[in-house]
Amino acid sequence: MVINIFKKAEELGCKPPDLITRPVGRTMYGYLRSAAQTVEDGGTLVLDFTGIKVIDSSFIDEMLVKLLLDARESPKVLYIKLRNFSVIAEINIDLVLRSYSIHKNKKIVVITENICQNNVFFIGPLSDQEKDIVEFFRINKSATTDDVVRFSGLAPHAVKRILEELHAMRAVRKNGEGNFLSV
Amino acid sequence: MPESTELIAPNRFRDPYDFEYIIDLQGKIFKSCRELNLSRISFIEPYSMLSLLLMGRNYLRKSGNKLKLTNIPVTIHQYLRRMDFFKAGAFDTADTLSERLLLKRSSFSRRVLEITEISNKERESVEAIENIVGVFRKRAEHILKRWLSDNITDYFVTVISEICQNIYEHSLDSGYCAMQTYSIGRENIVRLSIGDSGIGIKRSFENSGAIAYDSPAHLIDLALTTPISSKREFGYGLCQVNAIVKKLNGIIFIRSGNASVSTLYHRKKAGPSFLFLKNDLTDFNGTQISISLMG
Repeated sequence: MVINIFKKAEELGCKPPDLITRPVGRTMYGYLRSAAQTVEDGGTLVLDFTGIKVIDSSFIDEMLVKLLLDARESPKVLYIKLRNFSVIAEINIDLVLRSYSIHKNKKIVVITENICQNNVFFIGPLSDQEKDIVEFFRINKSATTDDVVRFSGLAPHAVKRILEELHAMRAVRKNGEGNFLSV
Repeated sequence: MPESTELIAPNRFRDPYDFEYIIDLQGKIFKSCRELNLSRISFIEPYSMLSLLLMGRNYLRKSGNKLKLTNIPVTIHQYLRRMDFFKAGAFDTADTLSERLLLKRSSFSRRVLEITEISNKERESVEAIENIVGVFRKRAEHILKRWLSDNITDYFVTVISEICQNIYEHSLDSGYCAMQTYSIGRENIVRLSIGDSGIGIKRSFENSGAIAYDSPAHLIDLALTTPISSKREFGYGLCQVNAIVKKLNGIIFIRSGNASVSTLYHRKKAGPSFLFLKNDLTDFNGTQISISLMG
């Protein structure tokens, strides 16, 4: 499911192109939470920020952080992906996700369709090993654990642990057979 | 002989450091002054203007009377009227300005954001912030004409939003926001000023308990450089503002209570002395912030 955030913001009475403040974030989250419930198990919710210029940390904290936590904690598996976001949106999202991860000791990241400023396709604090594996999946779409072991040079048990953690963060997809795929 | 109730304000409205002289006079103003004579003022910039407005509001709250501004030079009076300084209703003035002397909004509007009140109530504040950002977007091309950094307008929208939200989230009082581009000699300056007369950063953190700091200025510095919050487990606002000012090689000045921090990123390359912490200043209610770019 793709949601055009600009259009939805207008419908909700927010004032794009800038989505700022906590109340606006809460309004958008209220809608997206309902929308997420209609996505099938294992499906992807794509948030398209075309036309949106600034989203500030308050908005991100109330909308995106909550949505990412819902996605990883709800019984139904849901993946979130962002696209067409501005430079300042990326900077602000990165700050919020990094601060959250440090202070809560719980990493949160979000996968992106567009390449980010640091040449990766996610925003958030992944380790170098995690980053390499997410990029490997993005290029190859799907891979077995053995493929990742060969690519990374890591021990199989380490690869399995990282893949499970990445899946818990919804940074890689896992199908019914237990195989891993890109989001 | 009875003590005079008029005080002649010194010409100290040129920048935040200069305005400290006016804050030092606050005790005298609050104690015995009924009229503030502005005849010596030749220039007033946005931070000084907002701080004077806050001082007038504090005076009104304390005494129940409005401080009277007298002998306002025409150019200063024109500027204050143009910036909606008197709309807040904090001052009386006997001086009048004829209609023909009023600055035209159409010709001057492009380089300023007039003083806008940020309420201490969430809903009203959100509306005010959205309006400020809306006007800023319309005028940004002119306000930031001399600064060509990519995405600079978006950076300033973030800064305005983050700081203005701190007013209703933390200060427990309302505040004001204003912005202007101006020139002094060959130097062009864009200055965003946001201030309130609330509880200030130190009192805001008093109940959180978890933050260790050496002095009030050190606490301000911590709020600028680490994601701490007095209300939540952690915060992003001032930290993000500081990161943006650094990226733009600007200057950030924060004064809260009796302490201030100045970070002069435009001078960082010249050596280590770009961060200045000051304690034991004259106490001034609330938190006042000035963000400037020089060009």
